[in-house]
Amino acid sequence: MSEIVQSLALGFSVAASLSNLWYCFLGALIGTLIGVLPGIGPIATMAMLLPLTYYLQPTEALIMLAGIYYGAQYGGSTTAVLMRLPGESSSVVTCLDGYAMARKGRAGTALATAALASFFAGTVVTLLIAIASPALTELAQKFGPAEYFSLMALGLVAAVVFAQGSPLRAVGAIFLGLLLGLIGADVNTGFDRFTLDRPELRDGIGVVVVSMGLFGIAEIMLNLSSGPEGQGERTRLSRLWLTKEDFRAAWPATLRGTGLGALLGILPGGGAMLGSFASYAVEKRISDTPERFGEGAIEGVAGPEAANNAGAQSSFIPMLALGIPGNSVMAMMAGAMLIHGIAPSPNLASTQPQLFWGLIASMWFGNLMLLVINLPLIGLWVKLLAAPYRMLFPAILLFCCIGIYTVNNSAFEVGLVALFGLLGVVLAKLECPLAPLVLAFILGPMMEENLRRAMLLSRGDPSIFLSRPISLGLLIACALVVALLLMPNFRRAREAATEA
Amino acid sequence: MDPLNDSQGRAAATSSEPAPASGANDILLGLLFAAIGAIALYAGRNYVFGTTQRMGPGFLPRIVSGALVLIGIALMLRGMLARGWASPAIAWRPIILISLAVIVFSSTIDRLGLFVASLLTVGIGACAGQEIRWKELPLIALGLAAFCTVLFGYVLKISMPVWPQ
Amino acid sequence: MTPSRRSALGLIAAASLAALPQVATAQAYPTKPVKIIVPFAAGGRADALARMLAQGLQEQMGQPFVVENRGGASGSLGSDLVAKAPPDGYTLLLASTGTQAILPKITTKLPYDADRDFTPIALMVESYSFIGVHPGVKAASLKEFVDLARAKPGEFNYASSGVGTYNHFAGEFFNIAAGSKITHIAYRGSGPSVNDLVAGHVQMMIGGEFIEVAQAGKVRILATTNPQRWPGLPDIPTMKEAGLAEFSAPPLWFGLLGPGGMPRELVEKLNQAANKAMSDSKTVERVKAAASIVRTESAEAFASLIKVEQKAFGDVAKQTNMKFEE
Repeated sequence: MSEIVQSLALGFSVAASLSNLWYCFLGALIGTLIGVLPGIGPIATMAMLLPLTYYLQPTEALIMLAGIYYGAQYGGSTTAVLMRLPGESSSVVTCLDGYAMARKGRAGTALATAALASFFAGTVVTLLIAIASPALTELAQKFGPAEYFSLMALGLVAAVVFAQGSPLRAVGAIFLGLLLGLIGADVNTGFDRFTLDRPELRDGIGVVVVSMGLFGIAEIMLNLSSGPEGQGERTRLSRLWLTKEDFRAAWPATLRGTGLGALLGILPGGGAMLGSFASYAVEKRISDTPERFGEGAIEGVAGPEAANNAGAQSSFIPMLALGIPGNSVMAMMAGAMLIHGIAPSPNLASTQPQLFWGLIASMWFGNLMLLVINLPLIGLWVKLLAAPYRMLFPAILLFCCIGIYTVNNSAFEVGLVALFGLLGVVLAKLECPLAPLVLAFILGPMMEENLRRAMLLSRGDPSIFLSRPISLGLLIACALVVALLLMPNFRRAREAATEA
Repeated sequence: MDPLNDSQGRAAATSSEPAPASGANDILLGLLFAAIGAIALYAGRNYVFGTTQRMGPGFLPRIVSGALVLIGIALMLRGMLARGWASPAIAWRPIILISLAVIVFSSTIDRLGLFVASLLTVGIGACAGQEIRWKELPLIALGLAAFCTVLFGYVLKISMPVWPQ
Repeated sequence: MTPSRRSALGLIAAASLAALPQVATAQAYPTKPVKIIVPFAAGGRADALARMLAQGLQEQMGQPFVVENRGGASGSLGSDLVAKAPPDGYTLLLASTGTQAILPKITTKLPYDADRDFTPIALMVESYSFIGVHPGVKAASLKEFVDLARAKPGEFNYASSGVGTYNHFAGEFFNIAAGSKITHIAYRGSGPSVNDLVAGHVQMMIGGEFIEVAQAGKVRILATTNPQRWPGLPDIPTMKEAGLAEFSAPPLWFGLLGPGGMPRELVEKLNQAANKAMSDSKTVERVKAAASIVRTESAEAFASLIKVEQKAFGDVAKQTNMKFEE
């Protein structure tokens, strides 16, 4: 224990140097800004800044890049709440209840909740990284293809929970999402599926393209076609802070979201996104009043926002403890190290203690700065909403287009966004829930990949999913969720039958 | 008709749907799902299915699109049994104009650059609004295009064409 | 003047007119910023190399060299941009064994001709690859592993960072050389594949991605697949020294290419500049950290190396029926 205290003390002394604090602030600020700008994600920004880091000390460079990533999680929720535009793919869930809160004049409360929940999660996970990295890495290593498949299956079943109204529609949305996720080259054989011979489609459609179209562009279309009365509502606002009841509701959700996000973030490929979905599903499931979800439940903002920040930070664990980048953002961090001639490795803590512990300690400073940056901004953002919609929406539209273009410099993907905007309008008009579709779109490819990988590894024996304890546990959880889902429906069906 | 299917459909339609208008919605959504599923089945007809041991690239596509067709049919059946029949009203002008604006951006950005593409996109997009102020519109378009050109092209220095090539 | 003479004169005039600005460009080059396209996502090895090279070229030539990431479709999207660009030296490509020697052999759908549409300029880096096994595998040497794999056909798996990647091919070269049947398991990128190798879900991998993990004892390295030992790990034998001389996979390289038909002088100028940039002592050190060495060759030597490799990979692709379209 004293070793950890010593190491942390070293880390804080490194991170508190004037130049490191400056780059930490810079990273957090840039992260917030690009988080707010829809489409321009942390990956594109880090790529842009990578050549600049050439001139910095490696510690400064990594502290700044890390700040951009978790800073983007703070900023990403801003447009999700205000305009139903997911600034980052991890803030798709925040669109649901955050935006609903904003429509009820509680945009300020939603934004403050998001910032506070993120700060709490950031603080907890910073400590977690310092104390438990090796143990957590060990746990993540137990996750083989079979465990992944079962986890993804659980996620898909839980996606029905996102449904408002008819479960059958939600199931349809899930399968449509799965189908869209299949577009692109098959990982196991390299075979092109549904790509229409467009090389741009070989890597599949980006999550940002799908969510920007379904939520952002579709929302503009719906707003404009719903008549002026639909737009008047949004500008009313009462308060910027949380009431006592808000705190009481948000607090446990934040705690659970932090735990879920931290756990799912460690898994390779996890990152910030999965945790936010999982947290929302859990909050809605255990709530006494699940019908409030989608109508502006504060738990539906606090939990996912805590989870995406926790996940963003805990995805550093495999990279720091093992030297294996788990997602593309971590690959970028590894790239930044390589530029400086430092190879990410399991021995990083002993060969580069200053960099290792300095980076970890900087995360806490960064989160504090983010809170300081973001809370005063809330008033400004909310005021922005007071601008007339006829001036606001062309700006949103343009930012969406530019944002999507910058992800891959691909004009083709901008065109796809229009297509998904249309799909979003049609589905919304037909009362089809969109969140399950997006979740299935994200989980589907991972699930297929791991299903086939597991079957290859077991040489075609499906019992691999039942003989491994973690996988078995997840599948049992799956069965339980299905049972829980079916029960109220059966009850209602029975009631309806006796009434008739 | 299967009585189980019937009672379930009715139960879901009466208890969890807020408005009775969803009968037509169910039919249309079912039609959409079934159509997309059928197209995917057709497009993927030659993909190797494989076996459960060694699944081919066509294994999941076939199952997923098949399921989508079935869900679509179930939704259509449920819709026909429901009472409400009001079909959703859709205002086409904003939907078409906003799509067009995005497509124009996509087809001009590579050749004409950020400034011109922004002008066109905002110009077309702004016409989708309910009240169009013709004096204000060029100002908004110019202002936004100039702002974005400076921000992305010169401040953030994102590598994208800024002026016509 | 007869029409034929007129046209002949015209041709000469046109040719000299066309040749003039080319000579001028080669001497004055570069007069405006140069784009180096990396056909992969930012953050990878190719990206890091491109940025080091851009830095060096910029210092020598006084114009900005801008790195642009155009990832997607195994590198063919970014390569296509360069293939279709004018051969004036203002659009360059950071290519690899994967894009130039492997990809053309496993797909017929490339929108360009991998030979005609590119001009090799400079071989920059040779990367070292190693045979790594999970520490739980009961084989202390390459020979023991080969024997084990032969004795238990179909029991072991090897990981790759995707179908048709260098790891995948190297694994098949190994199967052919050792007469073993180790099953290929494809992953999405090198992170997940190394992760599962360390965790023991797969038993073997050939590549350089796990060298740091191996030095911490999480992966056991049996041999290097390059023709000479890696200076960073002088105790690790080559395949030949370890008793598997039949293994013939060419090493993985990264290099600079331009669009097809670039003028010779321009190629020479860029070749010398790139070689000089890569020889910078700081760059040499940084390249070493990624288990690679700097190679400075002539443009011709680079071109013939690509030819040799294309044949080697083409043969194995045919032998193992490896291709994207089924």
